[in-house]
Amino acid sequence: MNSKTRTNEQLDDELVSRVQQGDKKAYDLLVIKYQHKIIQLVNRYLKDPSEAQDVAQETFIKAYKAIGSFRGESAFYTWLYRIAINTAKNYLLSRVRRNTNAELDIDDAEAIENAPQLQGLETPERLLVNQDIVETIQATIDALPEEMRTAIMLREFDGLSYEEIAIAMDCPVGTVRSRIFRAREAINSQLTPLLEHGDFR
Amino acid sequence: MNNTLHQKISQFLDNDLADPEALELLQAIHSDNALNQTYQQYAIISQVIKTGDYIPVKPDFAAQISARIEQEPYHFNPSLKKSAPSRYRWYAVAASVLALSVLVVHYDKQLTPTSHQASMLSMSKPAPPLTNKTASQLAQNQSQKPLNKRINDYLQAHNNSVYTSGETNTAASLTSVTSYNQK
Amino acid sequence: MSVGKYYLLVFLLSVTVSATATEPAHLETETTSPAKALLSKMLHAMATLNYQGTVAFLKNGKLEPMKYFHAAKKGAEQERLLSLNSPMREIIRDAGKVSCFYKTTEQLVVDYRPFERSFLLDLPDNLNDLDALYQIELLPDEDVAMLPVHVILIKPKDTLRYSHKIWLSKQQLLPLKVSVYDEQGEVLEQMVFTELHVFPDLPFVSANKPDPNNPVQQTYALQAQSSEQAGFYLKQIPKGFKEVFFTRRPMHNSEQPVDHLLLSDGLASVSVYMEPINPQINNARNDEEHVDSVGAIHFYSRHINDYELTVMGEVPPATVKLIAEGIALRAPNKP
Repeated sequence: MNSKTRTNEQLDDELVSRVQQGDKKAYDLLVIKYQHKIIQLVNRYLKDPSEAQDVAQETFIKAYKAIGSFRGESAFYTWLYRIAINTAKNYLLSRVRRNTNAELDIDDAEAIENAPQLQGLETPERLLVNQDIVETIQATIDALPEEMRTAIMLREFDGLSYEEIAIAMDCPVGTVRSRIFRAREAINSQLTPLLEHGDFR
Repeated sequence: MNNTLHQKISQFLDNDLADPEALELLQAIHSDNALNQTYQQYAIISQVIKTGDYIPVKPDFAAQISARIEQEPYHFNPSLKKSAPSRYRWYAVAASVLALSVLVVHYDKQLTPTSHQASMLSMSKPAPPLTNKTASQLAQNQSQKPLNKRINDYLQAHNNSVYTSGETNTAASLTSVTSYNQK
Repeated sequence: MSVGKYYLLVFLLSVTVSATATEPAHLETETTSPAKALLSKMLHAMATLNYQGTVAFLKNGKLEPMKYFHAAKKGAEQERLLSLNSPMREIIRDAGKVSCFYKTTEQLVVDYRPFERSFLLDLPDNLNDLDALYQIELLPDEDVAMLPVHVILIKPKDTLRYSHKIWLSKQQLLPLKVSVYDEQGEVLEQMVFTELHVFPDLPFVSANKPDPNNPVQQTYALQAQSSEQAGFYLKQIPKGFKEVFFTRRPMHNSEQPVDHLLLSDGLASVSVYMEPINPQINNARNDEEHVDSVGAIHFYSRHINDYELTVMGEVPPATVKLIAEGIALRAPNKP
């Protein structure tokens, strides 16, 4: 698997280099690229989507401030990932300190993240809308033509590359690309009205 | 036109877009709200399929960061890397050779590690922000991870027998480890 | 229900028949021996039939009875296991995704395992891949709990792997019992159905719990990467073992990345792990080098520079040691 070129790591290096030279717009592109991954990562610690977004934003700000010291010894995403985890753990600790006045350090965050009483609670309305979205997506996938459903599931569930999916489904890579795209478009068409009409944000 | 760009978003999410095209696409997403909306929705689809969960993202998530950064001065001063390390390195010496090797790479980037080992180590603990820890704390944290936990994690990653052994997700499964007498 | 009672059920195996697998024609051309032809048909039956039953796993001296379900529809498959003893859990495999839900703690663990297909038995699609390494023999028919079964022995041609014996029902061609033997012929692991029923249709069950207050606690999101990114390489790999999967990911509930390379010879698999040395483990391991085991899985750790490298697999101790001794750190270079 030619993961080297496929993870767009070189693109990250290029964007980081531009940011280090003062191009702030290049940083916007890195934010666009990684926002979902970082929000999801942080949410795994905080278990509160709203707070997760604030902490994810904080992560990007911290990373920007520290980007001068980034020298590419690890991939940019790995580096960003570490900052996100630290920021999330520190946030968890501050949340506990606010409530308990306890003396804690960052290594206590791991235990705290599993404490159920600290999980954020969403409003029932929000949960309903969210569940609607999840169910709509899942129902649309179920209704997809077989070859489209298989292609997108192999990609998303199994993390297979287009080449691997092509082998598994015995079809050209171009067909895989097209099937996955059409699957996403089909799901997207069902998702758009929900997002437009529901107060999902 | 839109269809082509949507297809590129699909490819981009699957790491199937070459760097120059990916860069163009990111720029287009950055400047085109409708395209950004599609990108967000494709990401939601991906997230729901992978995790069965949906986390909404504020529409101005990236814009707010951009606005904050706009206020930041541009000064990427390499001297930042010089200020902290000596203290941490000293603590590390007092603790153990291993703690040293971790800390040196983490906090003294002046060393500019060239080997793969260094890059692995640099991933082994969080980088910024620096925490004010003593060496003994660090050594203690390192030593608190039991062997069983490590091997148990390896077993879990290795094959699915942990699910059918009745000892899943517990450290107990390794209490029955027997030493093998070599021939 | 006690474990002992389930053990007795092994001898009361009952199988109801309501469907038979129809094998695809192309499989016949891939196989030559009758034993391999049967195994091919078994793989097809395992993938395409809807069946459920009670299965007992005997591993590491412990018997674990579970309810087993296999649903198949239009090429999609789902496996489901329900534990009967503590810890109470439900495990669902959808393609490469395994979800394990612990009823007591309401913890949902999602694990991505694209390199495995079955909780019962994993064999390669093309059984000819095993030819160079194993001899596949058809043994005389037997009866298991008064039911006629084919018996197939997969015997290694060297001492670097274990023997497997498979009992498959003559009617549905599903594996009712699988045993793994060491070099002395001792049973290391066993899987046996105490009851198995085949149905025209079984429902696919959602692994996603509807209660949003019980979110996924842990996700092992695996992304296959090139093994060239590994911090090590293997100078000696036993014949027939090939790289199946490589990933670098955090483990031990921390961001600590661990390199994980999975090898397989088609039947047995071996993992190689690499991570920076943990001082506690260092002390524990420096006294002597030895191979440890959990059931049929042996593992062996060694240190190279500041790294701990562990080889683990359901193979004899000599095999993990051979692989471990051939590990070298990759030459320093920036990818």
